[in-house]
Amino acid sequence: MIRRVALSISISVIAMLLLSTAAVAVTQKATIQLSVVAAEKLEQGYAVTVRVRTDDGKPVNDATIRFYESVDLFGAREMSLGSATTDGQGQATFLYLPAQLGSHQIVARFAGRDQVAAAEAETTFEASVAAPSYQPETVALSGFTQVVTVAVGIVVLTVWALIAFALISTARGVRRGARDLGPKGDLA
Amino acid sequence: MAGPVSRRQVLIGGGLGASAIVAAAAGMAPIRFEAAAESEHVHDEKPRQWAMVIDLRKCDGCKKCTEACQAEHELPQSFEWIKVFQVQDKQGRMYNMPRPCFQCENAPCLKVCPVAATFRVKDGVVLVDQDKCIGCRMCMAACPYGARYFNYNEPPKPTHPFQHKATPEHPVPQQKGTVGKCMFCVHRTADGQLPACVEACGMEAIWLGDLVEDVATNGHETVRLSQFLTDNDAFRYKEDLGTAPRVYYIAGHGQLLDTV
Amino acid sequence: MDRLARARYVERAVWPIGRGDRNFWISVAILSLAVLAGVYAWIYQLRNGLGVTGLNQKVSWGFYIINCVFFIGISYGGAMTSAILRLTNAKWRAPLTRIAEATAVAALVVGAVYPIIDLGRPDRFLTIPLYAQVGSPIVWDLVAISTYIVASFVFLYLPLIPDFAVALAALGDRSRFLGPLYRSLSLGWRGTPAQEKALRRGVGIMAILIIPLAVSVHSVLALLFAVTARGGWHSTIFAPLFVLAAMLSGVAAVILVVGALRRVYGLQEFIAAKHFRYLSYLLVALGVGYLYFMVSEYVTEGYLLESTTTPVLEAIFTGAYAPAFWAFSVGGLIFPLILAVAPGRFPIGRACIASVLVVAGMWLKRFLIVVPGMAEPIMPWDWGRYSPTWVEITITIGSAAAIPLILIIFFRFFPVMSVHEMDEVESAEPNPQPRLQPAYVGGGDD
Repeated sequence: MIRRVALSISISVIAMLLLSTAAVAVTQKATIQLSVVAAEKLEQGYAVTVRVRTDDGKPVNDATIRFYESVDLFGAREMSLGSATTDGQGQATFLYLPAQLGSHQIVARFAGRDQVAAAEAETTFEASVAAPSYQPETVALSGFTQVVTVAVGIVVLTVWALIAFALISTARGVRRGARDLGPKGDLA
Repeated sequence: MAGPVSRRQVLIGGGLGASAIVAAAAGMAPIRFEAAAESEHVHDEKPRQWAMVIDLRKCDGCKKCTEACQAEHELPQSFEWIKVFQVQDKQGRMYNMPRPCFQCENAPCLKVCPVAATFRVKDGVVLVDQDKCIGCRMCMAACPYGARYFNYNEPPKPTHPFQHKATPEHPVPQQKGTVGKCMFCVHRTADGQLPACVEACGMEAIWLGDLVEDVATNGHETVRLSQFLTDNDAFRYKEDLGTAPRVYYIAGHGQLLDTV
Repeated sequence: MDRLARARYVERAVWPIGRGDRNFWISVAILSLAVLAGVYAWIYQLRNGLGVTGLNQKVSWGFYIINCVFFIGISYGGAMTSAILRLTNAKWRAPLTRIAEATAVAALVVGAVYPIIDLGRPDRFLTIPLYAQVGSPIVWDLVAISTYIVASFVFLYLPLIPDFAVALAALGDRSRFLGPLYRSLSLGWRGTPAQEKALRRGVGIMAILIIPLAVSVHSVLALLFAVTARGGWHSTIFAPLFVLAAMLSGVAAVILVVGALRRVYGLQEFIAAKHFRYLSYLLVALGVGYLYFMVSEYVTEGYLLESTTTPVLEAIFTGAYAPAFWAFSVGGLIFPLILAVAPGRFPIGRACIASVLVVAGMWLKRFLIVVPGMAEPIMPWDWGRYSPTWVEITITIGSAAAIPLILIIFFRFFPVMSVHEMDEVESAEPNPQPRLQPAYVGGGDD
């Protein structure tokens, strides 16, 4: 009897031990809490902050979190924004100054590591601050060029007028000269 | 006339000289008109400003981009709208440099065209209207990158029948006696497809980006364009000419960043 | 000039009019054949496209652009000899101006066709004014060339007005068919003071105007090259360099034409060695000026050796284009200038030989500007190649033959020397002193 009790106790202890070791080996689920707030300085745009915790509430530190933005460029794509590493509190912050105003969908992704499973989170925020919008390079002196063009046009017109004047005034002068003064010299 | 203009149509004058003077006056108020034929099913409505990034670290010189381009535009072998130069640098190392049209913002070809057959569309791409081009080849002389190709002969017979007339946005088939060049496949981008060369590049070395949304993709990865360019020290070829090209290169094999 | 001499002068000036001897018809036939061959080649090119030429993707400008610059350059001789000698009131110009002005118009008409030959779509040439973009150097060219052509025709016509009256009187029988034409073109010229005054004013305006116009044409032609980013072309001195080159080749061409017509039409009595001497001085002055401009260009470029210009300079001085370059600079510039200016015997023969060399040299120089500038590796790894086909060569020969053809035909209808000009020169100074005439220059023939 005692032997049987002892046996069952020992089996259960072993089982518990086994179970407990198994529990240690099993990866824990993690969750990412993703929030976007305005950064301290306006020109820094937005602070995209993540808190990474395991299901039992422990912070995950030293985790590399990659940030993406959902974009539509020849189909839906995730634009890689960069990454940040969590601190002792499981927190990481990534400063993001979007290129455009309006709605942005941000994805934070943790690739997972020993005992902590991969996780991701996404959020949408409305940007009211953005990087200066793209401006094509302006061509220098374009206003001046137009003035030059008009000036040259006037010169060309003047030249044509002069040619016409030389031709017409000579022709008229020769004709009138023939009529007004009558024959003179030995040429007629 | 300088400036990022689209097509200019200028009034008709009497003689050649007179007309040019009229043009000088009318040049103050260029009349714009929309591109003759837009693609009918336009998916991408965003205000794009296309740019290209070519990663020289990855290019292995396989010329798949050139082949895809030639297939896409029904071009003969000698027309390398995207041409892969095999370059030996001063250290004797070889690298490959694909050269599409740079779609310069201050494009020399656009300024010198006598009939404004070369024009810029709203997404920044420089196109050629082959119905207007007189074939003087001034633009070929002006282009510092040799990106323009003249159709000396009749273009080859198309491999498949066309559904449409050739337009500047889809210049297939090419017209004999006129100039053609890389046009960032605007017929594809307007349709939500990547340009043929980007799609064909097995090394994922060619990226097409939008400067407005600040994003670029090579079909597999997607990056923030401005950050990608700064992180990789991207440069523009012959930038000192002031042409403001829309094509960026990422050097990686110790290539010199300048012209030689 | 006494009455007898004047009569002989008039007789010689109108002598070719209406005459068609055997030599005339033989030369017309030969020249026409050459021109027709050129026209055939052009038609062949029109049918088959520019692919029949030696032009290619890298060297997309070749013989046609060279010829355009060359022939329009030749036409500068007219502007130079005629306008400048008129403005400086050089007395010896009188027998030369007509030939110079006619050469100018003939060469200009030929040169102005070349931009059209060069077009890939010549059928769209007339759409240029429709869509003209005023920022394009091609548009500048068309404006400048068309203005210059019109001005050249006016400049040729105005001094012809009194000569129509002279020819009408002198021709007698031979003016049967030309009479009405001369009568209407002479506008009733009688030589009255009012008419003289009107003519002097018109010719004066044109003589002043034609010089800046000529300068503008070649400046703008130079800009065609200079506004590009090509190393061999992007040079600030290009416009004056082109203008001087054009004047140089133009004066050389005038010497040649004068030399030929003097013999053909028997003008030895009036166009003498001194005329060739003076024209040679003009040639040498322009040639030395050109040499100076050219050296200035090469020194500034060759000292800095920018990466874009270096390959061109290498190719020109020591590389593939070196034979052409040294043939031009020694055989087509320095040697002929020495030949033309050296004192001694055979001034006319030497001036003509020097002029042939200069004209050929200036064509080579244009080749050396256009082709290496095009072939240079702008993507710095590949040189272009260019070898013209029979099409380009035939068109070039045909167009060169067109100039003498036009001149022969022109002088079959119009006086070859300006009679009125001679009268004017003579009456302005009753006792002409030999001015600017070195002691060793005789009035004699060679």
